[in-house]
Amino acid sequence: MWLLCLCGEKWVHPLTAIPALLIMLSAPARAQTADNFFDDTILHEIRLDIHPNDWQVLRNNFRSNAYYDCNFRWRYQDRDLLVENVAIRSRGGGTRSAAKPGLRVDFNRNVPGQTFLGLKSVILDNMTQDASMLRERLSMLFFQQMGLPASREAHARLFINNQYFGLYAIVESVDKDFLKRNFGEDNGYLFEYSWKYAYYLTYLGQDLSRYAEIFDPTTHENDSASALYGPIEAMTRIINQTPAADFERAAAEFLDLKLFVAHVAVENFLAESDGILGYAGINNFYFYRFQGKSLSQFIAWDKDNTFSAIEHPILLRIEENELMRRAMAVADLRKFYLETLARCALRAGGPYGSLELEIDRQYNQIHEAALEDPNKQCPDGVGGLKPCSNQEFEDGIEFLRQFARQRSYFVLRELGLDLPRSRRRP
Amino acid sequence: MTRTADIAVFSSNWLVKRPHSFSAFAPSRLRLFAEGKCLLRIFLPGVLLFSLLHVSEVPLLAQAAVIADNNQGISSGKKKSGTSAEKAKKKGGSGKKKSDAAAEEEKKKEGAGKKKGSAAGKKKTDPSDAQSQDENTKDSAGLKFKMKDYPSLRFGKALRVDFHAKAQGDFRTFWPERKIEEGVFDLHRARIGVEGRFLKHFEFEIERELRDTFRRFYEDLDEAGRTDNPWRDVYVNFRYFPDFQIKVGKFKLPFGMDQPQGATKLDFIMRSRIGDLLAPARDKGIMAHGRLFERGLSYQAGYFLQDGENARTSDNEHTGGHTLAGRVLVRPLRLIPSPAVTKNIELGMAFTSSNVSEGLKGLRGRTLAKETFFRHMFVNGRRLRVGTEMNWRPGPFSLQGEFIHVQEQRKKQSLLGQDLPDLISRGWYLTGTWAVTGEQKADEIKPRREFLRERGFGALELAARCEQIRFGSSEHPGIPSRGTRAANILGNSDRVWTFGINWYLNRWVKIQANAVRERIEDTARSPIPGRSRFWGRWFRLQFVL
Repeated sequence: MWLLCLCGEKWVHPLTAIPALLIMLSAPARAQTADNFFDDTILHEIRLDIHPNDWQVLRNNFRSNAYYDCNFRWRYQDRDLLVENVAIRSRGGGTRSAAKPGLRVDFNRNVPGQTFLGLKSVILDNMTQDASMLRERLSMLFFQQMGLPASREAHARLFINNQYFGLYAIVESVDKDFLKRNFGEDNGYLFEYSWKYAYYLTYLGQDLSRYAEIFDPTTHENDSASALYGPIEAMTRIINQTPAADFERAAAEFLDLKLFVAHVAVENFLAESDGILGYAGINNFYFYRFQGKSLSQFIAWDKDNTFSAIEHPILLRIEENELMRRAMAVADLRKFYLETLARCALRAGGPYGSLELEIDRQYNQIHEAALEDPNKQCPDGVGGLKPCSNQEFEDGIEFLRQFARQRSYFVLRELGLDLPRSRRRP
Repeated sequence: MTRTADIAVFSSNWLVKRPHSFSAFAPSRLRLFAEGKCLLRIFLPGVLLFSLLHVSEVPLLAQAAVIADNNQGISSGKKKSGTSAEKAKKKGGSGKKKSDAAAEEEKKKEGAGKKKGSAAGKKKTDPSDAQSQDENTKDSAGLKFKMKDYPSLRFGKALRVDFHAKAQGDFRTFWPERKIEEGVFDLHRARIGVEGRFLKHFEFEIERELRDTFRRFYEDLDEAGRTDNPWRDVYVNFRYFPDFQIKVGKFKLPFGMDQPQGATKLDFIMRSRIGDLLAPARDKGIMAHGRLFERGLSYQAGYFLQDGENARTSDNEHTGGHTLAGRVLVRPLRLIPSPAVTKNIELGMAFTSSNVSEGLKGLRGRTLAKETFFRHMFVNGRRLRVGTEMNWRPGPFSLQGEFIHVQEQRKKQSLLGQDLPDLISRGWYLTGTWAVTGEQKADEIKPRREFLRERGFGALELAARCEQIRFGSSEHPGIPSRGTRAANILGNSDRVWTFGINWYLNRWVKIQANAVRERIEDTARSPIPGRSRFWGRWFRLQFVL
């Protein structure tokens, strides 16, 4: 006798529905996505299985960019997602450490085409220059809140061969996926700025190798030097050599000056000491030139030197940077810069404002993991790193709270304004 | 003589006027020097000076030696034997005729050898024995200095020391253009050495690489840029029994055909990929070797402290431990009735076996320009090389081929400490050459009429080589990966075509030009990621004394 059941609007034989039922039952309750991986409402758990010898060699040679094999496991909602044949390497500039190496995880280096939730790579930031371990994540979130493109970030406990190794920040790589998500295109020219010497966007001449030295292409790497660096050379020439009257119009071909000014304003509000107006020239950014255009944009990167001082002057080092100096000479841009600073202050708020609340939320999330982190590092004050105590972590958090409470007042006072009463909380 | 004197004066002036020029090079001058000045200032004048010395009827040094010989009323036995060969050569019109004559001569020698008994026969056919016979005919009293193709010091039967020098200057360009470790101009080899015989039954060779010494004049050599071990062949060979000789010291392991070939006798500027990467090259050890059945079979078997200089890590550390090596070469058609032209067909097999300690020590793949396309893998266990080879030299032509298979164990090398499938490296090449000017192809070509010296053109040879080298794993479980601990290694290969012209000006000077096309299978690991095809042009000026 035939048994029939109703599936949708059609009668089908129940046996034909069994495979579909099995698939439905075996499917996860919710498919995991990259958004889940960067979900900052939870503390993630990442496990790396690596040969003990390789891990030791990586730590011993933490200055080297040599890759090592490992398996990558991400635990989400009590389920493990495993990616095998993943490549990792030590990463960072001044943050490199043998005790707690920063890691770049490449999913497609060993296995062509392999991705993890659509991601080709991800950064595990060791946060060694920040005792509070929150600056990087807070800064990137603030950039996003101010409407500027920035990496998604979350915190994770990292286990090496099933042993808790430390608290890390998961940082979204600035790559084609990032470009697609933020700009809707990914075929332009993306460069990572590589700090070699104090450079202030002055004109370096027609020799393109001077630009190649500091702008490291991460897309179109095999293109000719003229295709890669010609527009950068032209941009710096325009920035430096165009008469003041034509500056805004000429520079607009290469940069959206308002976006650039807003980027600098956000960095300044966050008291970034090593950014576009860094203490040793420009640093810590990606530079993206849109496909088929000469128009480019700065993208924030590596923000663990933010929150440097509550009373970080709002016009600090503006005269040093050639582009910023000329932009500030244009009345509209100067006004826009100051307005952006004011908007930053209003968004952050004062005591118990959104910034302080965010600090508290993140602190509560990482507090236990941070205290248990056996390898946490802090700046030693003389350019190096040292093991960081739990007290130093707590002190770092306390400084962030003070920053959140007072920075907006300071900035607004510099601007000749005051924080509105509605933004003040008891 | 005037021309010789002029050049000598020019050379001495150049040195006298710039006594401090080498030590006081400014960086910019160093760069200029590195861009080829060294070739122009040192190498080329040296080669020209030497060649022109020999253009004159009687070279200065040789003249003295000849006078000494004449005074003693002795003519060199070697010269006598050489004369008959030369006469045969001169009689031979075409290359074919000449090769027939040479085969006939060889046949006669073999016949004589058979008649006189094997030992005597072997002695006659073995060139080194002919040399000893030559010595036997000489006056054994007193220390003598001779200058023929190279300077030689002799003390009767007790001692013979021949002095040698080799220099090679390379120029190379690539498309797409890229910088390589050794630069555009390079003094590729600069070696001096002595070889000879003492106490009748002992032969020796000592050779040292001076490349770094010269490079220091125009380059800042850091530790990484230095030649790892300047001593090349340093050995003693005991040859009381020609069929069973013992060699002790540092020399090339008996494996393969391309790698053991002397660097100045190569058909191409660069060795084959398998000769360069899979064959072991030199090491310290002891080896028994000899020739049996009237050179129809030769064998080499040895024990070495490590498994050769080619198998080194990125930090130039040896990888393999104690190594056993063996090689057998047969000329199967030599002992049976067959056309003369086929008698020198040579077939061979070889193996090496060693243990490799745990580490990033697998054999790696590099292009001709020494750019890595397959990096070191983690290995642990036995490294076994097996090779087969063939060689045929009919008259002015030659055909040579080789296949090498290397298997390296990877015990406990997975991420979780389990055994991985073996790492397999294998490759082959096939080479063909043609001496357009008709010379008989031997280990090297001797021009019938030397350039300038005998008012000839020298010898011209065309050569072509096709080869491939590939790396991968013996089994393929799971997803293929480029990882150094991958179970299923994503393989990569390099296929190379080389076309070359060799111009042998005279017995000392050779000029080579090669055009090379390489194709890398996995473009992500090619020298320029994303690109698979690469072209190169190589030129070499070689001088051998």
